Amino acid sequence: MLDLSKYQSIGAALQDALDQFSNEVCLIESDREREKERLTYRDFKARAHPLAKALEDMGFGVDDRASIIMTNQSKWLISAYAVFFVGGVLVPLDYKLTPDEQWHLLKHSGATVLVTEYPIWRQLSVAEGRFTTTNVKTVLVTEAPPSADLQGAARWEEFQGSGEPAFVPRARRDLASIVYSSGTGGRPKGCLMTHQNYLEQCIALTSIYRFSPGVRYLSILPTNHAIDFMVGFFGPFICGAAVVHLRTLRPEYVREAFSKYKITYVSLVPLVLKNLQKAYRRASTGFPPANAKSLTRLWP
Amino acid sequence: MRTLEQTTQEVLDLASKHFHVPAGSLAPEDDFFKKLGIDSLQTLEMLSRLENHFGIELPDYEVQGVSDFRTLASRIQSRL
Repeated sequence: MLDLSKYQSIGAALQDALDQFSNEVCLIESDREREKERLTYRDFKARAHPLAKALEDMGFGVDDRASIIMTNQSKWLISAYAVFFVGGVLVPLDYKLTPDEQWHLLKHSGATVLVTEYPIWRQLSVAEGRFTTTNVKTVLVTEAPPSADLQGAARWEEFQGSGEPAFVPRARRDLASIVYSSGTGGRPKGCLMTHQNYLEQCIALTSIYRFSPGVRYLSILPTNHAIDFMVGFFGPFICGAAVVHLRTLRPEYVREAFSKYKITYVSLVPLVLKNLQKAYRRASTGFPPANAKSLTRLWP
Repeated sequence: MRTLEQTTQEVLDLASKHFHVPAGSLAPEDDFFKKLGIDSLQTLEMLSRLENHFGIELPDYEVQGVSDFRTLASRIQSRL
């Protein structure tokens, strides 16, 4: 694990982690039975730097805000790192909000860049809120079909600069991200999180989640939430561990992922845990003894 | 090739069977969260059943924000 007391920012710590653990696997992405992607820290850097360079080339930099509205996946983390690398402020938003709620928060945050997925952009691009949210100048859309009309957005995969981007140092007191509350107690509030907040949180959380190379974290809670951002991204990365993303959160695939990817840690809310327990119990009734045994280990 | 009406009816039949709701008590415009009293994860279970029945793959994002049977059936129909 990196000694975070020596770092001033998330970006600086991640930058060193990518070099220190370059041969370790950092991300595995699975869709149902298919493994879509497996990236080492070196691969991750190779994907993130061209994006960072393109952001730099367009003039995005210190204190500029970039929002991510995506389900949990590798491009979420790659985009976030690129934003930090060039000195930007991250605005992670909940992909489950309605398009107009998302536009409202995009406007409120002052984001100039939005990174999102094609299915989400299809809904965002036609929502009324788009026309009053004039601060968002650049929209990058992932995994858009080749023939898709992107309604003024650019393809994330093609948004690449050439050459190495220049790392922009930030201080601990500087703003790292704006995290919006869910809004269950009224309108969502934007919490201003400094690099210091994250570095100190990470030290506390990694005393519970003992990440190291070879350890795997299953990322299920949305990465825009503070907990998954910390233990499903920043924490594992500064320790050389791996994060597993599932593109399909059906209980049967989540259940299988534990043994298939030898998951060490997962963070869940009670509802998900209850459903997994039910799924395990149902599966165990029709399964041979070996599978019933693994159920007992998880839920004695 | 099924029509949208046929697909919708099959979705309603499967949902009533899976969640033990009397046949004919569900309508295309019903909000399945409210009508079946299910949460989002139980909805994912239902989607798996529907995928097996129709022989398709329905990505989670395709049903994000969908809460009524008719829209769900139209998303399935577009992949048949």
